[in-house]
Order: sequence, then C-alpha cells, then structure tokens
Amino acid sequence: MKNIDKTIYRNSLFLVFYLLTVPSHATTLSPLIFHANSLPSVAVQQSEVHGTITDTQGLPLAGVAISVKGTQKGTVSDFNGFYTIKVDANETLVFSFIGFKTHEIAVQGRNELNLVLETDITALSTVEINAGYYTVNDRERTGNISRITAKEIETQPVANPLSALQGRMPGVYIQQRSGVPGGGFIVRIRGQNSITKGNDPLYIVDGVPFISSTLASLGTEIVSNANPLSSINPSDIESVEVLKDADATAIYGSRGANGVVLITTKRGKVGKTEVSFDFQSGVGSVANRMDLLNTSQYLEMRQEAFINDGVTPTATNAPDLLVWNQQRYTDWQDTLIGGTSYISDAQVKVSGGSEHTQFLAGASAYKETTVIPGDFDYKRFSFNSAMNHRSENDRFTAAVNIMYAMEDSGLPNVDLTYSALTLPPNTPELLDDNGDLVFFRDITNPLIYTKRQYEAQNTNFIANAQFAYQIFDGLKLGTSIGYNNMHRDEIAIRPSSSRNPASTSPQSSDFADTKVSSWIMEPQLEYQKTWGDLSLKTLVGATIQQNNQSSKTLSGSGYSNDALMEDLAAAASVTVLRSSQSEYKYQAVYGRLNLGFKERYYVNLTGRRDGSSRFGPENRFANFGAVGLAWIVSEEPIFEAKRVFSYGKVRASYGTTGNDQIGDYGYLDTYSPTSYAYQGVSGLYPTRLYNSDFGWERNKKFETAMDLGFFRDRLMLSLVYYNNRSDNQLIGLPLPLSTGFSNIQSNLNATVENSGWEFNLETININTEHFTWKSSLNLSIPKTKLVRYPDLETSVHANRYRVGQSLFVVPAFHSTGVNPDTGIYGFEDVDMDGAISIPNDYQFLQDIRPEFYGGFLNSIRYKRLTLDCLLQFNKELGLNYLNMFFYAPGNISNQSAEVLDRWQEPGDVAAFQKFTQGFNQARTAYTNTNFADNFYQDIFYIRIKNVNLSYSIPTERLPFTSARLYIQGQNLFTITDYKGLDPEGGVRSLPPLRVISLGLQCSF
Amino acid sequence: MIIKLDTSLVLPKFRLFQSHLTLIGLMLFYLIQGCDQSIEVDPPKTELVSTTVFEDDRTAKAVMDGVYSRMVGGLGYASGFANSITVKNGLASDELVANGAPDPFYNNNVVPSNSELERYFWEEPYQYIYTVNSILEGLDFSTGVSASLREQLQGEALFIRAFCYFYLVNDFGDVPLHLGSDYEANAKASRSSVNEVYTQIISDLSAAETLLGIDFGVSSGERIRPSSWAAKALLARVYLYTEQWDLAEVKATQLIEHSTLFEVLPNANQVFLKNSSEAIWQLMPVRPNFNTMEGYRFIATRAPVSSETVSETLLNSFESGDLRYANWIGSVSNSSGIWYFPYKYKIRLSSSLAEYSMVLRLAEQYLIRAEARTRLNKLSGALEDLNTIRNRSGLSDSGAEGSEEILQAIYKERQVELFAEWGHRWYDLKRTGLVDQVLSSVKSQWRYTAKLYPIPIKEVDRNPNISQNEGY
Repeated sequence: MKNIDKTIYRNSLFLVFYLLTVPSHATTLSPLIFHANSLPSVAVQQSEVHGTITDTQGLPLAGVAISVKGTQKGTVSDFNGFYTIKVDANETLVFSFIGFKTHEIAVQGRNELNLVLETDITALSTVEINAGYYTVNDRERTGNISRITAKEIETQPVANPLSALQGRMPGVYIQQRSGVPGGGFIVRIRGQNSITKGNDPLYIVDGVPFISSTLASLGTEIVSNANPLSSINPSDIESVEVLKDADATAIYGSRGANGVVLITTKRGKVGKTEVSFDFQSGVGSVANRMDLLNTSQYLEMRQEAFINDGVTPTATNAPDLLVWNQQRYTDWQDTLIGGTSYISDAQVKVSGGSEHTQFLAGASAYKETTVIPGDFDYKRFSFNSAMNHRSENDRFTAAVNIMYAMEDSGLPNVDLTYSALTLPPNTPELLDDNGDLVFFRDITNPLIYTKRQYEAQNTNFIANAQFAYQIFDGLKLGTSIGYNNMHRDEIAIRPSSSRNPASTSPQSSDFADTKVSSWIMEPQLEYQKTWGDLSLKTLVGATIQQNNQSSKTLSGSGYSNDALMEDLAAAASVTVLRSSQSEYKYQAVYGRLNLGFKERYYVNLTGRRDGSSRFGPENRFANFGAVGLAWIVSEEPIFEAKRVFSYGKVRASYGTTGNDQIGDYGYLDTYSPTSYAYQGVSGLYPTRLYNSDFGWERNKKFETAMDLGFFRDRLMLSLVYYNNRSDNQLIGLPLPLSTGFSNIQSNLNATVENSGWEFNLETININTEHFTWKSSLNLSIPKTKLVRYPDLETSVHANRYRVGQSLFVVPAFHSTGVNPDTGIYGFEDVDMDGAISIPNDYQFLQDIRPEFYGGFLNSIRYKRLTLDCLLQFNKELGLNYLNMFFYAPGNISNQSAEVLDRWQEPGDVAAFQKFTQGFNQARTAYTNTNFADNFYQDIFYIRIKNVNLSYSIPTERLPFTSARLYIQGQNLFTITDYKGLDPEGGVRSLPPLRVISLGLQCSF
Repeated sequence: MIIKLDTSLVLPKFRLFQSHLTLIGLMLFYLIQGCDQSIEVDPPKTELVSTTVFEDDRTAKAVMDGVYSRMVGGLGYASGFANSITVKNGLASDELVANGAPDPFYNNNVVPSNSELERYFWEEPYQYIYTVNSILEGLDFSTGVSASLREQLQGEALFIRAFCYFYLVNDFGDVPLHLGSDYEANAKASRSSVNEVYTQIISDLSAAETLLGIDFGVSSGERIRPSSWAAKALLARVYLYTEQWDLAEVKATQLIEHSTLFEVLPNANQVFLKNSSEAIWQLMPVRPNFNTMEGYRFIATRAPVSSETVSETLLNSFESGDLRYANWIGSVSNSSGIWYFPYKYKIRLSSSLAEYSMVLRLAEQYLIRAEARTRLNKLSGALEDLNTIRNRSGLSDSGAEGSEEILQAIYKERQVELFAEWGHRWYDLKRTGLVDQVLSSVKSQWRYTAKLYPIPIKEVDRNPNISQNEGY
C-alpha cells in the first residue's frame, strides 16, 4: 500500500508545485503576452474612456462589468458607478450586470460614455448558471438545471437550506420529516432510482462533496433522517443549483444518478466596504391539534372494552378506571408539544473590494428553542469568509472560501409526539410535589425523556481554493482544492432520576464521537474558441478524492451522582459499544465538449471515467457519458419579428450516470470486535458477507423539453418529459434471517423506471415603475415502475414487488370493513384457506408514491413594499392517522375521536371494530390492519408554505445605505383531508412548525 | 482587424505554450497511470477479514468467544433477560406471570410479525449458526491454527450448532437446517423435518463429545466453555426428548458417575454460584456492574412489580417443607398485595462476580435418568434418582408407586426444580402432551396451535420455500 500512497503524494506534490510556479510564470512573462494581445493594430489611436453608470432611478450602479468586445480587456464600475478604461477609438464596449439588460456601445472616438441600465426582468440571456465544472448561459443550456438564489432564500425563516428549496423546483421532492430543530429531510430528485438504498443526491458545497447522511450515532430517534446541511447558514448561500438530467449530471459519473445539488456561497462584491446586519426573531408552534377522546369518551371506551372482552377491570389492569381521578382531563398535546419555540437569528456581513480583489466576511448566530417542556434548544454559530483576486493583467484568478459552523443541540432523547397523542386524558400529574417523576406501571411517563438528554455538538469546516491561469486567449488552466472536516460529539444520558426504580436499567450515559474528513483536488483545463458562426467550449479535468471516517461509541455506568454523568472519567466502568473506521478513495477524469452554431444549434457532450474503492477489485472502474442537444427555434430567421413568440428552445439529452452510495468495504467479509470481552478476551463476530464482484449501478437518463417565451419573455413556459431507467441495482438485498444476516450488498439484475412530466410557468403579470407582480407555478407528475426483475417469484422480493407496477406498491390485506355480526375487522381471504396470513392473502393495491406535487409563487412589489407568497401542494397515498396509535382502541392509550364510530352490537355498521383491551381475535384483527389497506389514505394538501412581506425603509435621513423591515411566515396554513397532525411530517414525529418571524436588515 | 506578425513576440509565447502543454500532458499521464492503484484501500483497522481470522490461534478463538459474549451479553436469546428463552418461554407456560404491558408470549398470542420473536428466537440463534458454520469451514482451510485448538473449536462449534437447533426445533417445529455458510443456498432452503433436525443435533453432539476436553482446563478451570460433559448432558436431554430412553440413561449416568467433577450440592443456595460443582456449563456474565441478567431481571426491590413474577400454579406446586420454596422464591409486598419472584440468583447488581448464568446442571441429569429409567421399567432406580433431588431440598422420599405415578412425580419435580431456567416447563408440557390439558385450564386464550411459535414474517416473506406453521 505504501507505493500507492506515494503515487498520490507524488501527484499532489506535482500539482501543488505546478500551481505555485504558474503565478510566477505569469508575472515574469505576462508583459510580453499582454503586449502581444494589445497590439492588434498600430493604425488606431488609443484613448481613455470614462463615465458613470446608473439605474433607471438614477442611483449609481457599482460592479457593472465593462469589457472591450472581442478582447480580454475589462474593468468594473466603482461604488459611485464610475469607470475608466483604455480603448481604441474603433472598439465597442459591452456593459453587463446581472439583472440588467446588457448594452453594447461603439466608442467612436468619444471620451465620456454615461449609461442608464434598464432592469432586465427576465434576464434569461444574462443568467449564468453553475453547472459544477463549468457555467452555462441559461439561454443556451442543453441540460436541466433548476436554481434558486439568495433572493428567494432570504424570504424564508428556515434553519436548513433544504427547506428553502421546498415547492420551488419541479422534479425536486423535499419532505421535512420532523419539526424538531436539526430534524430530518427526505430529498428525492426525480423519484427513487434504487430499490432499497442510496437515493440521496450528491451535494457539493463550493466544489467540495458534502456527506448526505447524518453523523449521529446516538439520538437517532429524535433527529432521524437528519441532514448535515443544517450546518450551513442559509443566508451564506448565493445560489443553489439542482442538476437533474443526463446532460447535466453525467459529468459527475458514478455519483450523479440521483441528481446533484450545487451550493455556492456568497462572494465579495466590488465597491465601497459595506457592512450589513440582519436581525430576526420569531416564534414557532405546532399548527394543528388532533381531535382526541376526552376523559368521559375515553373512560367509556375502556369500560366498553372490558365488557366486550368479558374481563373485570382491576387496579392492576385498569388503573385509569379504578385508581385515577375520573374527572381529570388533560389534552397532552398542549402539555407535551403545545409550547412555543423561540427563534432568533443575527447576522453580520462585511464585503467590498477593488476591481481586482474582493472580500467578504460574515458571522451569524442562530438559536431555536423547542415546543416541548424543558430547557431544550438548538444553536448554530457560523463564520464565512471569501476572497477573490484577479491579477492586473486579468490572467490569473484566485478564490478562497472558508466556512466554519458549530451546531450545538440539546434535545430530549425521544420525540414526545407519540406520548402526546396516546397518554390517557385522565393520567395523573407527571411530576410529584417535589418535582420528581411519577412512575406508572402500564404507561411510560413521557417526561422521563426530558430528563434523558441528548446533547450533540457538530462542527463543520469547509475550505476551498480555486486558482486559474489563462495560458493564452481561450485556454485556461485551473484547479480546485477542497477540504471538509466534520466532527460530531454526542452525549446521551439516562440519569437515575429518570429511571423507574422497579424496572429500567441503571443510570448510564453514552458518548459518541464521529469524524469525517475528506479532501478533493480537481485540476482542469478549459479551452474556448469562436470561428465565425461556430463556437467551441471544451474542458478536461481530473478528480482525486479521499474520505476518512471514524466513529467511537462508549458507554459509562456506575456514576456516584447524576450531575457527573457528562464526564466519562466519573464512570465506574466504561464499555466500548462500537468503534469503526473506514477509508474511501475515488479518482476520475472528466471532460466536456460543447459546440454551438449560429447561436441556435448546440451540442453538448460530457463524460467521466471513474473508479471507487467501494467496489470489488474486479469492478472498480466505469465510464459514463451523455449527449445534450438544443435548438433555439426563435433564432431562426422566420421568427425575426418576435412579436408574440419571443423565445423558443427545444432540447433533448440522453446519457448514463451511476450510483455508489453504499458503505465502504462492501465486498469484504469482515469480523468486528464484540462489545464485551469473554473471560477477558475480546470476541469477534461476523459483520458482513463476502461478495467480490459487485459493481456500479447504472442509470440511463433521457429527457426532452421545450422552453417557450411569449410577449418579450413575460410569459415563460417550460415543459419537460423525462424517462430514467436504472439497472444493475446496487442494493442491500434482503435475506431471510436464517442466513444469519438481514441483507447483503449485491447487484440485482432488475430495472426500475422513473418517468414523469414537469411544468414550469413564469409570468410577469404587471410591470410598471411602482408596481410589479410576478407569478410562477411548477408542477411535477412522477411515475415509477419496476420494469424487469428476472425470477422475481422465487426471490426475496417475491412478496414485495410486482413487475409492471410501481416500486412503491405496498402489499397489504384488503379490508372488507367491520363484520356487522362479530364486530371485528374482516379481510379478503385470497387463498380461501379460512385464515388471514402473510403473504398468501396480500394484494398489491396501495401505491404510496407522490402522485403530483408543486408550488405556486407570487411576488408583488408596490413602491417600497414587497410581498412574496408560496403555496405548496402535494398529493400522495400515505399512512393515515390510525398508524399513529400502536394499541387497539380499548387499551390504556388515548385514541382519535374518530374511533367513537365503532361496532357495539350485532347489526351495527361501523367504521371501527369493537373496543378490546386483551389478546383475542379482535386484537389479532387490529394487528392485521397494520398490514392492510385501511391504514392508508389519499393525502392531499395545499399549504401556505411561506409568506414574506418586506418594506424597504427610505434611508435619506438615516445613516444607512439601505434598510429593510420584514415579516415572514412559514407553514402558515394548510388545507388537507388528512386527519393526523400534519400531512407532511413523519407519522409519529413532531410536525414541521408554523413559524412567524420579524426582522430588520440594514447596511451602511 | 489587422494583425502584425512580430516573430520575436510570438515565439516566446509559443515556447511557453509548449512547456505548459508538456506539463499538462505529464499531469494527465500521472493521474491516469496512478488511477488504478491509488483507489486501493487497506481493510478497515477496526475489522478483520475472514481469511486472516482463521490463520491465527488468538483470532480464531476470539470468534468462538464472540459467540459466548453475545449470547450472554446480548439481552436476548440466552441472556436470561426479558427477551430470553428463560423469560419468554416461562411466560408461555404456567410458571411466570407478566406484570407490565400485555405480553403476547404470556397470552399465547404471538403473531408472525412479533419483533422479539424474530430478533431473539430466530435471527439470533441463526446468527450463531452462521458463525459456527464459518468457524468449521474456516478451520477446514486453515493451516495456522494449532491442532489442539482446532479440535476444541470444532467441538465447541458443533456443540453450539446443536444447542441452537435444539431450541429452534422445540420452538418452531420444522426449521431450515443450515450446515454451511453459503447464503445463496441457505436463502432458498426449505424447512427440514423435526426428525432430520434431531438426527443432525445428535450427530453434532456425538462429534463434539469426542472432540472436546474432559475437564475445564481450556478455560482455566472455570466452567464457562462447553466441554465433552456439556455435549453428553445435552445428548441425554435430546435422547429423552426423542424418547430413546436407554441412550438417555447411558449419557446421564456418565455425568452422574463422574463425581470428581460433578455433585448435587446439599445447599440449594450454592447451586447458582460461579463454577459450582453442580454446573456442567455456565455462561460468564460480561456486562460491567452486572452479575447474571436473570438476577437483574427477576429480583424485585419494591412493589408493585412490573417484571415477571412466579405464577400461583407454580407456588401451589411446592410441597410444604420444600427448601426450594424458602430459598428460590423471593417476595415483595405493599398494601395492595404480595408478589413472588424467582430468586435462584441472589445478586441483582454488583461489580464483583459471584454468580454465573447456569445453562446445564447435574440436577437435570438425575431427573432425566429418573424419567428414562421409569420408561425402561427400572422403577427403583428411578425413585432413587428422584429422591436424590427431593432429599437435597429437605423433602422425604417420594411416595409414588407404579410407573404412571412415578412419571407424574418426576414431572412435578422438574416443575419445582427447573423453574425459571431455560423454559424447561414449557418444553416438558409440550413433549409430554400435557400442554393442552394443563394450559387450557389456566389460560383462557389457549389454542392448541400456540404450541409452536409462528415462523417470523421476514423469513416467510423473503424465502418462498418456507411455509408457515398451522394457525398463523
């Protein structure tokens, strides 16, 4: 192995050396080169042109790029909108600025050129979109890339950047699983490609691949599906681009199958140093309450259950009927999840710079408390800095970005939502007069979880440096070097005050420490050239990446005092519960070739060859590639007039990408140490089965799309059809448990198809000087199908999937409702054997994929007031509220008020079976409903996801250059037929909170 | 645009371009050439690869140690804790009562999706079976393990395989019989009949009996690894269950007569101490601050009690004057009642180890031989064995006469001697055919199909060749 490391070091040293020497080449040789370029003709006189650039309201515009057409020369306007540039009298100046129309003005010997730039409301041709290894003009792009910018993010009071994307992009399904701060998200770009695992997109933050799954080893119950992106401050983000089709993702090769999310952080801007502050504070709460049984209804249910079962209630089996106060009533939703969460957020940013060097530095502090009783909160401190430099001769550029964030969360070990719904309404006080916990025999006091704290500290450091040097006109050599280090330190304590003296385990605390570090180096060579109507853009590059992950979990017990439980040294004995370490190496070469003809026909070829240490020695390398085509129809001469039809593009792409989202070392059969030694000797146990020849999962993506613009692009419509097929499925193949393992990493010769339609409509309804109104609507209709699965009938998935049906089809019994004679749920007995059994009586009826989803956004500006409102909608078949309740109605557990519609005597036609508290036929039938279609329902919801109203304060008399006062709301109002707490969150977890916040942003 | 060619200016530029190209070329060459090797990674430092495990005495033995460590430390199957065979099968029979949340084992209403059943009664023993099969295969190919250790490990592996199948076949009836680690074949196997499984158990145990040592030297005198004696003891039980009375008598006799190692202790309070001379095989507790999990689970410190307590049926089965009632049953009470709990293990929590978890002990061998002798019509010998156990507990000789009465006396003796140990009562009721009669009178929900647990859903679901038990 030594040689191999040497190879890497040799390569890296070589690159570093090369990069270090490049700038010196530049300084020593550049005068020559500069001369060579700037001496096109001796016949023309050189002069200096200067002027001021303003917007339509007469305010100076800083940072406008002024370039001399056809050359590399250029400058940028300063803070007063002023610029000077040396030009030849017959040259043409190009003025461009994001969000404004680009102007070209021939100098014609003039010395002063003042200019008013008009806002370009659609700005299609000026928007440069980040495609990862290159940028692409929105007008010319051949692939499918959605984007949101800082402007959209800042209107939302969110802690995780992922929630800022919700409802705003077609084809991007984001579900917030929990309203607990730091809680989880599910992100699916164009559906689920892999049958069982690895469906997360590839996240890249400023060029550095970012892990997609949480490092949490403890507390996974309270922060399930947590996403590490929470450590990135949303307001540090300049833009988020989501790459979806083959054309955009093939250059990411083996990691692009599930789409790519590119996050670019803010950079400094040219101009006078600007300091800006942003203060925000808000309140959050659970928006909805479930309608549960009150005390008299609950007691009636219990009594009826005992009568139905013919059992006499005793103090042991029915303390709620015989011991507890019969009048007492508590809605535990109010007590346990009904609190108010306070959110405060403060940010400061300094940015500025000269034409050649710009900087930005920012810091922020965010704190969010919870809605559960007790002193819990989540805090985040983040620092972000960026420096950009361009050499005097414009040939050398450097950009450095450093980000550091610390998250600190103190939460209970377990989500209290389930207890809030099921604790009997007449349960006595949970704390006694001394403030100690009261323990019950049959029910768990939910406040024990508030004593069992889970504390986690997460630090995240990302650094990235990009250097580029223009060797000659059109040829650029660059490299990007990135490093990411994430560290999570966790403590979960179970103090003696939280333990039931009668049964639970002794006081103990667990300590976990998980680290991931990764570095990446990507040298790249770019060449651009235009010959008449033909333009060429090409690049080749390489990636070397290495990740190291290690994790340790220790458990301490035997503390003399609860107060010492966060100190491992105070434990009488310490056990190592888990210890793991892994290494991942990855290398690739990639390239792109883009040809444009007459600015209307485009061909884009991209490809990648990559190798990953995650696969068996036989299957480490694979090639991926894509072709994208675009035809800008509106540029054809017959559409010259462009009255109504102002823009039209047809594009298509086809290609392959891969998926390597499996753990490391999947091909080895390994033994790990056991937690405890036997007679002083540490034991070993098998942890993995051997499979040397598993390889890449391949995903073939096809897309065709049409982008249309009407009325000078005031109405933009885009229509997309895609069809992705992934085969050679890389899965944890479930195994019968008798094999000793529950699954094995393996390639499965099955094909999954994801297809669908995506619509996006953007309109500018009104656009006057004082009043603008813009709308956008997006809609996604995804479909997924298992196309092929040889020998499915004899496979482990025989009872799970059907060829030709959706991947989300859930096998379930078909309920025939409550039998009016017996009062017990009946199910269709498919095999007619007289018993309801798995799998023989399963039917494939329930398809739980999202049917459609989307968002409708309106932005209105009237003078200084701006209003943005996002409606989000979603329809899918999902688990209904019955699933929240584990016990059959009649047991010592509260229920939805719906259960009152139950069977009571023969002949009754009711929605719910008779109440029962014991183990009997009714109980078995209730258990069967866990596997039956009565647990599913169509869930449709429309919600006011986000509203932002902001007022830009006149600053003439204030010491500010700009000031803005705003009020924002998240998850404000929901229309749904779902009867549980929230149609979006997980079934038994805290729903996403309704948040209203008020903020002030000012800069000077 | 007019371009004036100035060769003096263009030439250095061209040279520069050339040198850059060379560098770029070199760089790409290095990258591509380095590509193949530099994604090689070493195996993880926290794990071992199977090929290295069985090339070394220490690591090979560590795999077997891992089995014992997980059996006793895992909180399931063999742990003696809430989800163990001891507790769950005690609940399923008539000796223990569940006091906490409703327990499907106690109610004889275990469904195929029951997670305790799946995890602790099915998956866990099959994990041990996979491990010991891997050991047997690994040792076959290994050249690095010493001959004596190889024999010991082969013997222990075969013993553990037989041990796991014994409980599987008694809990589930026909079960898939995996004798190798090939998961592809195992994933498609159908259920082998009870007879086939017992044949394998007997063959494994007989092999283990000759491979294993005849003392406890390999574990420094501690009785915490199965020896040849453990194989004989389990064989005696298997012959009893399969009604091969003469063989059962032979095996039990070998143990009983080996008095240099084994004797029935006069004081019942000493039986469950570590390395007691009644112990044939004990599991050594591994969790810090704990002794046995049986002690931790059963010993109630205050009323009301939420863990498992002794049933009235069992309490009423003790004859008056039985020292086991005084020594092995504990109680706590409050104003609303009194709760009796199994008190064979005396230590609930302690950082010094005094008690080990008993798996096989000599008293059972006496009762096995008594029953076998009765069936073989050697009634006086049978009574002699029965009375050995009775006298130790302060009871006079049994007054039973005739084979039927003696048999009933032995069953009753087993009930009070072996309660709250490894589900003996549950298996006795089932193998003697008394289960329907006995349980239907004390459990209103009893159904005859509850004798066997359902095959867990993840097994039936994932292997189309596995059928479900009757009634599920």
